[in-house]
Amino acid sequence: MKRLFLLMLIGCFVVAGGLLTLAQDTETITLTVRCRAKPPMEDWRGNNFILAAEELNADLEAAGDPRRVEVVINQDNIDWGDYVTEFVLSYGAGEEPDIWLTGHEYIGVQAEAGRIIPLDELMKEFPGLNNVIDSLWDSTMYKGEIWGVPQDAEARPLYFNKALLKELGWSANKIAALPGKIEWGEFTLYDMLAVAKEAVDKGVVADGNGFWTRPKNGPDFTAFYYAFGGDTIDAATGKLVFDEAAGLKYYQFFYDAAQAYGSMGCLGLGWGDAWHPGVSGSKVLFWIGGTWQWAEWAEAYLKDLGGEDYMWETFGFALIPAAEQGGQPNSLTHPLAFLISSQCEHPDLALALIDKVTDYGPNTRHAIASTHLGILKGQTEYKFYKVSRLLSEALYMLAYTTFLPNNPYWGSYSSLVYEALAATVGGDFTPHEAVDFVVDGLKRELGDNVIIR
Amino acid sequence: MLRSKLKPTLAYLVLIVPSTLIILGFLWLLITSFSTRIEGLRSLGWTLHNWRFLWESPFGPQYPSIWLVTLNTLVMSLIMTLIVVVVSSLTGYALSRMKFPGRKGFLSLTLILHAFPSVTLLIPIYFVLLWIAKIPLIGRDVPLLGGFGYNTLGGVALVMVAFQLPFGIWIMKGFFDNISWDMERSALIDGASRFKVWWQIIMPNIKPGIAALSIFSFLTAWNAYLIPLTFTAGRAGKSAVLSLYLQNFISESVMTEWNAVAAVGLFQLVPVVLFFLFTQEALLNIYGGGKKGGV
Repeated sequence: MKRLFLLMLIGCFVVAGGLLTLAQDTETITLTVRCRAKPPMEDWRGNNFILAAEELNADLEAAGDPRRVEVVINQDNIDWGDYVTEFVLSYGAGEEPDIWLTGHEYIGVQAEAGRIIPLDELMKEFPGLNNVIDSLWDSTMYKGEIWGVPQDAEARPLYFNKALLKELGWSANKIAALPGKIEWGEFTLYDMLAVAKEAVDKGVVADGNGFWTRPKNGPDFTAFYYAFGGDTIDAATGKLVFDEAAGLKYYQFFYDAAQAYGSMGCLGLGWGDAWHPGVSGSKVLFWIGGTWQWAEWAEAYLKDLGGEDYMWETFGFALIPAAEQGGQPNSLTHPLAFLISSQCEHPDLALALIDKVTDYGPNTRHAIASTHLGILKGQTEYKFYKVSRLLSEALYMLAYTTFLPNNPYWGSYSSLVYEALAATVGGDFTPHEAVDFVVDGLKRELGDNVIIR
Repeated sequence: MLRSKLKPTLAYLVLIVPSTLIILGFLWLLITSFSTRIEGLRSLGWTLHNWRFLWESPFGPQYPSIWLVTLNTLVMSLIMTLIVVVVSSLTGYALSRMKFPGRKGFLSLTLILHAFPSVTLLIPIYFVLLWIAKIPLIGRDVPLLGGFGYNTLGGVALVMVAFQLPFGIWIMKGFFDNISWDMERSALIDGASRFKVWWQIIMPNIKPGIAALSIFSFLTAWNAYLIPLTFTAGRAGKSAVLSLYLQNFISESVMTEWNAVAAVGLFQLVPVVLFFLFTQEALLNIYGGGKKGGV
């Protein structure tokens, strides 16, 4: 009896030991990935991680690493404000995602709060990340460190409606030459407004529809401020900057556009019910949009008319014109970036996954489906990237691109500048009053954290 | 004679006009959900495409199935309804029948709490949920509910209960106030305990009240948006509920598929209609003074 008991005990130990060894062999680590993505165009943002996890597990097995990764994707098209709030609240509860995809401009505030980690050291073990276009890393730098891996980029071109320009009497050659003239600084912002006014005067477009920006606050407006020589960040101190002279020109431009050039009838419109139907429905001559909207228009608004084929016939795009003759045109890229939570227990695995999706195949899948620009060196040569005419033709814009600053106070700064702009467009502020409003507001709200020049 | 006929005719007319508007709305919803496009109430083509969310995720395989989301919503709504009805009945009974220090103050306080807009309390509640999440056993990993902390169905239900309780307590107190003391006194004289009196004598007499509170609570939870949005992660996360899921179809930046929205909206409506059908008899009998034929 005693012997039987002893045998059973030994048996139990052997089984337990075996199970323990097995468990050690297959330690499964769940990593959560949170993405904001418009379905179905932007689904690859999250879905790429499913494929990446398979690859990573194969790598881990080959390297004799006992860990295995299981990825949970949480992806939807929630509004940005709610999206950021959700991260902050879930971080406090320890429920935040390990990998969080967000606009690069949130890096400053999240880094200051200690919710994300710098990646410089970890990145040394993933040389594949060196393939990311060098200038894009600037967008994820904060206080001299890299805090995120760029996920995608885009250009914010000036779109123009070829059919409406033809109605104005422009020849096909003249229309085709427009992007080049803009690139060489021969067609300025005020030249554009003059054409817009002509279109309004001749009844080609309704009053207010000569030139449109986005209907709400957003990064596009900053590109115009840059065009007039403005700066947003002081390289030496990392503080925000507001340039009064550039600001005055910026507000004067929008004041003139709305009051004298039959433009800017766009502020306050709903995206889906008025803005997209307006620009895609040939009711607007010039407008600032994103390259990613090309896919939306083709899929959601113009499918019946022929989708992309119709769009190539009807729409053209160019850089945002220079403010003055011979000046520099620009664009603004607002890369989304993968950030890693400071509470993530396996940041090396999180970065390994990010490294996997930051490769030509996965990134091109996303770029093609969502018409975002590629982020990797030589991506235009990649076989499957080249199939997209838009991406190939727009990639040159990255050479002219600008960024939003990574600064924790950017939200307040941007809101103030936009409030003044909306009042200027509405005729409630003169350009001088707008500048005074911004300067007073910035001093009051940000104090020493902003430099007024 | 003419006058006696005119009165009901007028009454019907007054009822029919607003009812027609509501019925037309529902009819539009129904036709839209089965149409490719619609002109007024005329379908320009019939389709089942808008209902495809029932058998496949319209946003790709990574989005949770509508059935999981519906289960989440049902669990949250039932938990909330159960807690609100039980706690409100007990509290309402005590406030109606017993005299104790602070009774009036308590009543006033519940009314003040009800006056608070939920949005003003979101941040304090968040910290409460963080604290609850740390309590062993109930904070995390409770089957079906996930727990009672942040990003759990139980947590959202708990918050909803807190907002619904003042209303529930006042409603139930009103029902208890209208029940005659005689039955209760007789039972107490016969040796029944307070709890037995509450459960066996009083509760059966306020079934309409229970039904009314149940349906109000259920509807509040079923359609809740702000609280699930704030205290769960993602419209398609593990704790997503129908009102959040519906928002995936409505986007600020992408054209809304209204036909699909109508279909999901109708789907969201079905359990509410069923719930109403099962409780309408009780609801229509809402009156004070004990059960029919009673004292």
